Order: sequence, then structure tokens, then C-alpha cells
Amino acid sequence: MTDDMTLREEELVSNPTARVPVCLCLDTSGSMGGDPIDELNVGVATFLEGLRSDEVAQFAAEVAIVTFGGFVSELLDCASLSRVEAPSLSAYGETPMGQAVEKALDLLEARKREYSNAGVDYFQPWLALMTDGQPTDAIDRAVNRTAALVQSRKLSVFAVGVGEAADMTVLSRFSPNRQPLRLRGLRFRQFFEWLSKSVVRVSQSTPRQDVPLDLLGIKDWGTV
Amino acid sequence: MTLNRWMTAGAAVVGRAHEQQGAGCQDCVGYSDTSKFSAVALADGAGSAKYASEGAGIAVNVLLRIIERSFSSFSQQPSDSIGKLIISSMADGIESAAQTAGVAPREFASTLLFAATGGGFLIAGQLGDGLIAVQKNGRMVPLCEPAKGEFKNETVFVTSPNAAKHIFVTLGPCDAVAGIVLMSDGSADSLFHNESRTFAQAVNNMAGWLDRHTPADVSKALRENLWNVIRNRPGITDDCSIAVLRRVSIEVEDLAQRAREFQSCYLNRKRADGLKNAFSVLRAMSVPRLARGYVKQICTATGLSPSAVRRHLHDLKEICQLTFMDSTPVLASATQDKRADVDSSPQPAFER
Repeated sequence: MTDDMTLREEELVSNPTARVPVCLCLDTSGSMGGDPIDELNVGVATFLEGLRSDEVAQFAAEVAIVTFGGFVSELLDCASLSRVEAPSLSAYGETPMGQAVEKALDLLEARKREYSNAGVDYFQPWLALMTDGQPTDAIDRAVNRTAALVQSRKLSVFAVGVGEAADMTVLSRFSPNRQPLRLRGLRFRQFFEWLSKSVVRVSQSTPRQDVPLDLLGIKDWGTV
Repeated sequence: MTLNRWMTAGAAVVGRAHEQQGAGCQDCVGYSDTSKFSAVALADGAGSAKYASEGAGIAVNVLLRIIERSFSSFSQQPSDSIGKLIISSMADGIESAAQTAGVAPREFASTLLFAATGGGFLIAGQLGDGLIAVQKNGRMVPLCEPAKGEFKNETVFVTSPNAAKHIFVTLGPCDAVAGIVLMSDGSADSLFHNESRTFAQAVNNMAGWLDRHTPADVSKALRENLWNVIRNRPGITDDCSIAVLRRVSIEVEDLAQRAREFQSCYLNRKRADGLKNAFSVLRAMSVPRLARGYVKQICTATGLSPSAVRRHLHDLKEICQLTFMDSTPVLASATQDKRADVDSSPQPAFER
């Protein structure tokens, strides 16, 4: 009993920070070889560091990474940032984008179920999709699943094309509510810096606040 | 003789996220104590609404006005018709503000939590997120499961099209309830454990502060704790607010030992002579009573006029939930002690 009317820490409870699940779905096909894959590696490391350095986002953001280069690979499974190291990506093979996006959606859905079971609040999941070409597998099912989630406001998609060969029409099918953007040159680092800041803003948003995107910041790395 | 008096306190502080954005507090609490009822209300303005702060203020204000106007009739009404009345009154209040501002009503969106008690009757309700703790048998339990969406940033507001369907209203006798605490979701992060569905010890303790301190002191302490302790905890960035409605039970002689300010609040008497007379009446009531001539007995014991005694009896019965009954009407012509030493109902207090 505290008659001086001052609460002590032990009289309070702690709940897990509301989570922002983010999946990076990255093209690591053979055409990404050379400078692009090196810059992508720098960009992903920048992204993780940007989230780690924020008071709230370091606990809120959980990052999954799915790559598609020859085959689909799950490098991170919505791990808490404290347990994550930046992966070293290498370029190889074809572009199974449809399969990779489905894998990304599966990971995000599974993570949401885990949050619910553990009584952890969460924000709308994010999917960042990057490619420098066009899919070499069937994408219709992945497109339909993604579009349905976006239209019911259950998923936020950022689709980014790398280089002139990126098929922006395909990307726009995955992102019906937000026009896909083309990366300026190899500004992967700038894109991932922007992405981490955007995730930080969501993680700090008060409930019911629609967080506007930093449109000015987009100019630093992307064009329509 | 045990007195039972419901008392109220509350506070709201801006969260660190809004502070960094240069925005004000979008939570609002209000409380009102009259001899007929005690009420608390709390609203959390929608982050997406342009006039979130004003919307929360309107929601609290409208709710307290509804209580003031209709509380005595609520015990005769089904809860869903009260819910509809609340939502339609909110719509009216917000509509006129929205028209003045030239925006859609949703720009004034907020949640709403409230509780009011008087005459042994209790009503409480909730729309949207936040939590209401009800103290029963010494334990705090949630009043209801708040209506919320899948994501942290989704809930229902007073301006939502389906608000009347989602508002939860409950009413009934208040015998088993010792206190009610309203909290916005910003506060609930530190006061309610989501996984175990239990309230923090702090909720019990804060409600108990009203047993020993004046409402003004408790409101000040709530504000200081929200500001210095709760809003600075890691990961807590939202606005934080809390409102307490507490049954303060006390023996007459224990009350007589309390600080003058506490007695004054408890018996709703500001003037020294009004307070002294109220105590005289309470003490006279504590001795074995006559079946007839009760007022006369108290007049003899206190030296007060019959009209003054009747006024005190009538008023203390309502404020302190005493079970005695004296059906003789107060005579307007008995004017010896005509001046009102019972304070008129205070204006509702607001905290933002």
C-alpha cells in the first residue's frame, strides 16, 4: 500500500510491444549478380540497423526475409531483431517470384497466429517486394492472395523494380493500391533507410493513426 | 453508522509520440459529483481524426450531460435503448461541431468509456478500446471484452456507422461493486496484463487513494503518476488517461478524525457551519432512534430547526446512501435556518 500516492514499477505490468511484422521478398536471381547484389546486401544490413537503433521499433519490428534466385529460400522467419544478423545474399538462377510471394504470405499469416495465441497486439503486416526482371513461374495465385489482403487492408505492400528490365506491370498486380516504384540506380541503401524509418513510424503510431508515407523521402531512392 | 459515498477522480496526459509530433493530448476524462449521482467518463480521440482532441472532449461532455438529464430514468430502461440514446446524442453533438469545422463527423471520432452510480444503482458502458476495471470482492475484473479489430490500430468509435450495435452498456444494483476504473489503451498497457487477463496491483491501489485523500489530491496524483511513471515506461508512447469511481465507506467518527478538506468533499459542504451541522445530524442519527418524532429527536440533539434537519437528512441520505427514511416533506415555510448550507452541484471537471 502506498499512501504517498506514488506508483512503483512493481505495481505495474509489462505487455509485449505491439509488433510490426515485415517480410522482405527479394529477387536474388542470376541477373542481380555483381554490383546489384552487393548493394542489396548493404541495403538489408542498413534496414536491420535502422530498426535496431530505435527505442520502440527494436522490439516492435520482426523481420522475415524470403529470397527467390533459382529457388525460394527463407532466410529469416519473422525473427526478433535482437536475434537477427544481416544475411549475405548471392545471385543465382531464375526468378520464382510467385512461389516466393506465397511463402512470404504464409510466413506473415503464421506469425499473426502466433501473436494472437500469445496475446500480443500487432499492426498490419508489411511486404516489400523487389525484383530486377520478371517471374519465371506462375504468379496468378500469389497475385490473387496478395491483392485480396491489400484490398481488405490486411497487408501493406511496397513493390520496387530494379533497373530497366524490371517488369513494373507484374509488380503493379501485386500492389493494387500503391503504384510500384523503380529504384534510382542502385540506391538500395537509401530505399532500405526509408523503409526502416517508415516501419519506425508505424511502430510508434498511436492506435487508429493512419501513418502517412514520407513521400518526399521516396524521391531520394525511387521514381514512378 | 457507516457512510457510503461514491467519489471520483481522473487525469489524462499527452503521450511521448504526440509530444514529439507537437500534437496535444487526445485523451479526455471528465467526472461529475452531485447529490444524485457520481459519474466518470473517458474518451480517446482517434489518431486518424483531424479533431481527435475536440472529439474526445465532446464525447465526455455529451455523456455527462446525458447522465445529468436521464440518470434517474435509466433504471427503468433496457440497456440497448440507453446505448442507442448515447450514440444518437453523440451524433447530434458531433454533427454540429463537424458542421462548424466544415469536416465530416468522423474527424471527431473517439472511443467512449463511462460509469455512473447513485441511489444504489450503477450503469457502465464502453465503445471501442481501453478497459473498464470493476472492483468486486476485493478483485478488479474487466467489465467487458472491448470491441477491437484485428490490428492494434483498429477499433470502433462513437462516429462509426455500427456504433449503436457495438456499444456495451450494463446496469443494475451497485451493492457488490466497490469501485470502477476507466483507462485508455495507453494506460492499459501498464495496468492490464493481456495474456493473463488480469489487472495490475496499481489499479486497486489507485482506487484506494480516494479512501484517504480528497478527489482533487487524487486527480493531481493520478496526473503525476501518468506523467512521471507510466508514460515514460519503455515502449509506452500513446496518450494515457484514467478515471476512478470509488465507493468510500467510513464510520462517522472516523470521518470526524479526517482532514477538514476530506470531510468537506465527502459531505459536500464547503462552509464550516454546514459541515458542523452535518456532523451534528450524523451523530444524532447514530443513537437509537424513536419510531416517531425522529426529526424532533434530532432537533433536540442538535439544536437545529426541523427544516434544517430535514434538509440535512434528505441530502445526507442521497450522498451517503443512508438507509433511514423520513417521509415528512420539507416545509418551505420553516425558514429559521433557511440558508442553504448544502453546496449546489459542482460543474463537471475535465482533464486533458
